[in-house]
Amino acid sequence: MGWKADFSKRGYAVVSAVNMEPLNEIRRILCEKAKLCFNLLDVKESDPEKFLNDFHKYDIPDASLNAMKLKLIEVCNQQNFGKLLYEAFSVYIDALLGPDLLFQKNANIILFPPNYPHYSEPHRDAPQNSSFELVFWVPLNRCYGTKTLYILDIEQTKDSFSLLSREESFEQFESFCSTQGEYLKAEFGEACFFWPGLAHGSGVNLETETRWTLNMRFKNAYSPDGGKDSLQFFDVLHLSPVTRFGIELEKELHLKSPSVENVKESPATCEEVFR
Amino acid sequence: MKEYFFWLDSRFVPHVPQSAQRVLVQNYASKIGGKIVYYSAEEWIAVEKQLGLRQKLKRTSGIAGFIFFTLKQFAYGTQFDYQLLHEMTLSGLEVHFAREEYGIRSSKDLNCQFERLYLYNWTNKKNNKLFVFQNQN
Repeated sequence: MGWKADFSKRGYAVVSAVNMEPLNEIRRILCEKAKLCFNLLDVKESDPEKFLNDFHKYDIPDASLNAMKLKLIEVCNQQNFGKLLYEAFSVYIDALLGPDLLFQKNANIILFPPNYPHYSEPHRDAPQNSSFELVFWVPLNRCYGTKTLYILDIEQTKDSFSLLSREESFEQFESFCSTQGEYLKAEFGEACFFWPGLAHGSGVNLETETRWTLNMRFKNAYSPDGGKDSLQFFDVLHLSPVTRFGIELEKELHLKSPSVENVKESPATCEEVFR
Repeated sequence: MKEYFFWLDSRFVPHVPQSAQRVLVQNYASKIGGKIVYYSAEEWIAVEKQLGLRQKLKRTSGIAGFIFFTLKQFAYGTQFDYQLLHEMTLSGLEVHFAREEYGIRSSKDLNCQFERLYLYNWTNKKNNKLFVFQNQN
C-alpha cells in the first residue's frame, strides 16, 4: 500500500526522507548541543547513533534530566529544525497540506532512557492542537520494541475513546491502547506522520538503548486553529503566489496612512498621530 | 532597560484575573529585556474601539511601547484593528502581546509581519466571535 492510501485509511504512515542531508544536519546539531547542555563535552563518541543510543550510560541523574532537556530544546530551537524537517519530508507535507504552509516554531525533543519511569499516557493531540495539523514523529536513532511510540488508527481510536467514555476507567482505556496500538519500527531517516486526532502514547522503554525523537507540526495557513494559539506556536514556512498577492492587497487596504501629516518614524511620542 | 506600559484586557478578567495577567506580562517584559512602568485597562464598554487607549496614546511619550495581555484586544470590534496597530508603530511604539508571545517592533516590522498576522486573524475569526459572545452573555 502506498503512503497516501496508508494515511487515508489509518490516519498515519511511516515514510522515508526524500533528502537525508537536512536530517543529518539536525542530528549533528542535536548531538553537539546535547553534549553542551548535559555537560558531556569530554565525551569523544563521534558516531551520532551510538552517542544517542548510549546516552543513559553517561549517568545523568533523573532529577536533572528534564531541566537539561528543556535547555537543549531551547538551544535547538534557534536552529531552524522546522525548515530542515520540511526539506527532508517536503513531498509528503506539500501533498497533504498544500502550498500555504505554517510550521511549529519549536520542535519537541523526546528522550526516554531505558526504564525511565515517566512515560506518556495515551492521548490525542487534537482538539487542544488544531484537528487540521499534521504531526511528524521523527526518530533520531533506531526505534523498535518498547523504545518507540505506539499509535492507534482511526477506527481503533474511536473504539478506545468510546471505551473511555463508557467505562470511565482510564486503566481500561490505557490497556486497550497499549495492546491494540502499533509499536512503530523506524530507522533514522524515516518518520511517522499522523493526524492529531489519533490516540498515541508510550510505555517504559525496556530496551537497552535510549530513545531520541523529535516532534514537529505542520499546518495549512488557512485551516482552523485548535485551543493552542497558532501565532505563538506557528510561523510561515511558505505561501503560494496567489496568497501573497492577496495579502499584499489586504495590506494596502488595512494599513492606510494616518490622517496626520508629517508622521516621524521614531518620534517617541504619540501626540502627532493620535490628536 | 526598556520601559513599557501594560494595557490589560478587561474582557478577559473573568477568565484570567488582573493579577495573573500582570504576572504573565511582567514575565514577557523581562523576556524581551524590558520592565513595566505603568499599567491600566480599557473601560469595559469602550473595549471594541479602545477609546481609553487612544486617549492614553495622545499623552504618551518616552516609553518603548505597550504590552497587551492578548492580541484579541484588537479584535473586539467588527474587525481586527490593523489601523490602530499601524498608527502605534508609526509613532515609534513597539506593540507586544504576552499571551501570544508576539511582538511588533516598528512600522517596518508590521509590514513584514502583516502576512502572518492576517492569516492568524483569518483562522481565528470564529474563536474571537465566540469569545465576545460568551462574554456578553
